[in-house]
Amino acid sequence: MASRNFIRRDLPLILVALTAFPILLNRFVTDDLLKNYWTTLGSWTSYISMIAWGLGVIYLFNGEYHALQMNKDKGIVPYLMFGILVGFSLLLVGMSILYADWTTMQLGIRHESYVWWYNGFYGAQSQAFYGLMFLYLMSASYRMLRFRNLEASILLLSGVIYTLRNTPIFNLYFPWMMPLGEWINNIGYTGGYNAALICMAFGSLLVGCRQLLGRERTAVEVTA
Amino acid sequence: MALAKLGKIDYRFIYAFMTIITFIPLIYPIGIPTTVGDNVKNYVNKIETYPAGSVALTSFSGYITMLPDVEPIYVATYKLLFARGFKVLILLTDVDAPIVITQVLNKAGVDWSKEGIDFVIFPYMSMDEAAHVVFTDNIRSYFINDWKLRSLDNATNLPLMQEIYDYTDFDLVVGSTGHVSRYNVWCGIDIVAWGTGTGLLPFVGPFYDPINGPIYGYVGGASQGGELEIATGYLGDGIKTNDAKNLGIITLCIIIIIGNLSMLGEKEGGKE
Repeated sequence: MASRNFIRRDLPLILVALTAFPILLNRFVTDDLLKNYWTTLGSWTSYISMIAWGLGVIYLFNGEYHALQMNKDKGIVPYLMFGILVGFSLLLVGMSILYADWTTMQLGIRHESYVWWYNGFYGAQSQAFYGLMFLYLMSASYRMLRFRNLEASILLLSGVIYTLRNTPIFNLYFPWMMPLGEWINNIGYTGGYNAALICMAFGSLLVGCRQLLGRERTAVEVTA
Repeated sequence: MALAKLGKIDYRFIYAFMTIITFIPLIYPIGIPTTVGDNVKNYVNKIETYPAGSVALTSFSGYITMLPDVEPIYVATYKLLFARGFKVLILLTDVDAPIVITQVLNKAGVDWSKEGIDFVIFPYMSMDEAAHVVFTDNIRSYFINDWKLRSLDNATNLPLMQEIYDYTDFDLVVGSTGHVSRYNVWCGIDIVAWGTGTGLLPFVGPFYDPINGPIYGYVGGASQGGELEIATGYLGDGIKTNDAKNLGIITLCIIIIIGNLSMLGEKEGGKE
């Protein structure tokens, strides 16, 4: 039981402390050892996130495979198969040695075949979905931006003025709209944002201290 | 009562109406004039204050999803930087960036034979603040090659990099709001910000000050991309899409008015 607690509770805390203290110290003390430690850990944040991309691809295909096995509605099969086809095509073309540029030792991600797949499938559909957001915003604005009460009215007015500031035709015929819109963004909004930012900073400090003291339950698997 | 019925417009009708309204000017451009905002003027003015040969670090996320919204800004900015004689370093910070940067630089009309002399592209690396710290302290502790795997110390292929080692060699950063703390507060480098309408505009306000910085000017979204094209004189896709944006926003205003009229109608109906 004691060893189990050590692995689940104490070891993560030791690792957090070993990581956090040198990094905090590096902000206040000039020392080559601390700087090297900071540099190495900083680089590893990138490596870890890159590895996560690879894991994500494996997880995605595994999920697609299980969805095919478990789904009783066979109508979904063509959609899943098409997704797998496009995904594998991108992977195979991108990683193919046939398209490799041996002078630069690059695999095929800049080859015109890959760029065609990438723009034609991934680019087109993802941009279409981003564009759809405009329609959802339109529908939401119709339902939400109403003079219901004081708060909703302020939201409506400031939102509409800043939106109009970004619309060339209004700035042409109502020149006062542009400075007013910029004032709302640069002054009115800044106050609220800074207040939220300070709260977040204090909150992060608090969570950090709780983690280092072992009082943050999300950082450990068991409680004492 | 009639007003109250306005509040029950089917969302599919709104979608269809908006699609038609924004589609028309893409086929038949109307040519509505555009004015340039102060934030865009400050963005251009800041870049133009530097002498030829200054080094600009551009942080290029290049999400292909949002490319229509931000591509006019990228293209006009690179055209301006190269025309002003900047030496440009390009950080690829998103997984789409290695592909998108080629398209953007081709649209900006760069001379690829000058790669390594006038500009250098680093390999794609997912970069959070810790990674930016490492990069600014010593570029070679983070990257040993450019994106074509040529050593940064290779004076034949990358002569530009023989003069650049860390943040003290940067004059200007073109990035997003996320770079404020590292590049300006810690390193004292001036920043101008670029980005999408949704990714930049809501966050830039607190950091924007055209006189004291840290962000001296910003451009966000295709509409302001059109403004940037006018301010720089490099007209492109940004100005072409402004008609659609104008009509879309006018329709949005009409829809908001209809929504409020219907609420008024419901209130009146309730009193009766």
